Amino acid sequence: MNDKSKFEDSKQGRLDYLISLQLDDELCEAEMEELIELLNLDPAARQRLVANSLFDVQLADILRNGVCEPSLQIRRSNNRNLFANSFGGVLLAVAALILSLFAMQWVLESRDFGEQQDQQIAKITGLSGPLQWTGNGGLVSNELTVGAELPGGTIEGQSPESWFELEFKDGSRVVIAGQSRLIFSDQGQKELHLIAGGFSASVEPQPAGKPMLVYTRTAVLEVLGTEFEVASELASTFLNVTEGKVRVKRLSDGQSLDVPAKHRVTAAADQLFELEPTPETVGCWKDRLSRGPRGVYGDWQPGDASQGRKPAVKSIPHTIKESGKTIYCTALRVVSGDSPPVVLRRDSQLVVEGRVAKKTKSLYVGVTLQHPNGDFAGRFQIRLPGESVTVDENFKLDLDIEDFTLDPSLREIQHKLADSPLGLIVTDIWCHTLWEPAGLEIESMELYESASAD
Amino acid sequence: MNAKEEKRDRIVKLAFECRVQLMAYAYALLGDYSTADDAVQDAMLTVVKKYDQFTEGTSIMAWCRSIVRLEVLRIRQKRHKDRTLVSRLLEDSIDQAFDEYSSTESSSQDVRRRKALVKCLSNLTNRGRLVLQGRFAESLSYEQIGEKVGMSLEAVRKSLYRQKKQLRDCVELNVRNVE
Repeated sequence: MNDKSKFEDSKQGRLDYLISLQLDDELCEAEMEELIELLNLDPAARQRLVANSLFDVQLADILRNGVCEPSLQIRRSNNRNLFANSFGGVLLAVAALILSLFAMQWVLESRDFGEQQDQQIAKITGLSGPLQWTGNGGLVSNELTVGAELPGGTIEGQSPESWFELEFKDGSRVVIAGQSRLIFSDQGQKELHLIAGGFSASVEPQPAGKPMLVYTRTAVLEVLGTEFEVASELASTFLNVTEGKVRVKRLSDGQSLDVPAKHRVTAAADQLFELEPTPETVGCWKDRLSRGPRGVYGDWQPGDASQGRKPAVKSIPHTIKESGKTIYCTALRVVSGDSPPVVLRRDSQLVVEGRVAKKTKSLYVGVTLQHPNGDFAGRFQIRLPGESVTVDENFKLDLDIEDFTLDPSLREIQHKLADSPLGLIVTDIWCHTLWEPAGLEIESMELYESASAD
Repeated sequence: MNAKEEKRDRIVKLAFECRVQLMAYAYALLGDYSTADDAVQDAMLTVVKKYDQFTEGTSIMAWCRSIVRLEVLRIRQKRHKDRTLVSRLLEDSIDQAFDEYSSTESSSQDVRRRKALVKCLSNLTNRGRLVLQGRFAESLSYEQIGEKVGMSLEAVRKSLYRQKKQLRDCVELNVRNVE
């Protein structure tokens, strides 16, 4: 067996080999593509990458510094190792670090940290819910305001209620809703990196040869001027085009497709890569909690058939920075690439089953909605008195969608949103309690049309 | 020491404790220990300057990593190093890997691992050790290592992979035996 075949003998060996080359900056393009595919398809491969990187750092530390603990050496000031090596010396070491760093203030002053000189590329035109923006030099802000201009960076929606609308200088708009993370930049060519979740965009015609590029883990999109929505999961990218045309390249094999208006496609290594007309909307939907935690916001529990417990999702806390108060929320993603859009109609009913472990003042059930072109349309909710549910007993709520009203936290941007939930596409359904941990657990959610049920 | 200074010290200490993971992250993105070290040191300077922007109770690791990522981009821009589409996508995958990672290893396990690694290094051949030394301690290129130890470029590439694999296996075995 020659060396090469030995390396390829096991998948693990091949993965280690590729990681080793990446850590030495010696990967060729074909090997990079191979490594991307291995990483994207297998969580164990991603863990391996981190483990091997940590190993190499430990190895380098030892070969450089001997057996001592890792330390920060401030080379710019020509200091030798500033820190004591013993565990007990860490505090002293940190103090030394602070002192030496302040002594180096001139370095900080002379460096271009950028934010004053950064070119603003886009402005915030709407936002709601918990959001975090990370800009140049690690500037982190949770206090974004409408009208603020940004120089690019990473925007992250931190809960199902998050919503953010950004307008580039040329009028192109990008909207993220729910838990999504998007890196955006414009250095003469707009580049978006969708790390998680999804966004919709309305893109003005772009300069010749410089289309907007959207990168996900499994695909690259080239956008010249169009309306579309895109959602990315670990192993697939879903694209739905409303207007114009988007070119999508599946990374696993390099195949490309032009997706015209009213068509959609899913780019995944293990699925057919072909156009599909955007399907007709439906009025019914049922959760897939029994299939696992995909599309779930909350702590998914597998259930135990022997004890008669169904799979469920427990609420998780999210603290609002301004008030210091906490929302205990669960949410299920409704919109997905492998099922038709779900629309709310006059006779739509929402059934929610679950339980609470403690008395709560109120229970909130709501839906997050979008327009057919992917634009955010609002969150509509109903507030139920705590007496609607009994502690430690299963509850079943059958709710009339016509009773749902706009989430009061969106009042300031009410003029941009829909008047009623009817006719809109459901992206998420959520349920939460406010300020107190009531041990909310949801076992089932279902949308149906009462007329067709009759 | 006033409250502001106490907060600064607390955050810098927390950031310092993330150092190995941050180094691993920068190393995975840049493919060079010395450059990764520069990125992490610059990130630490940013942490000291902007500590008040960190919300205590949230993840210091995630905050520091976002700073390191920007430092990595800045280093690349400075060096005018072209990034191809594929390399950008690989960076996104690396980002995701570190995002998902959460260490379950205690500090005593970490120390045990480090001791085992030192012991395993002594089992290497002189030539193997020279190859590792060249790459990790002196940041030499494959070509420079080849010239130094009299090996072809391909042989250096494979030797590095083999030495590291041997060390990883040896460390695992040692740690398991101790446990």
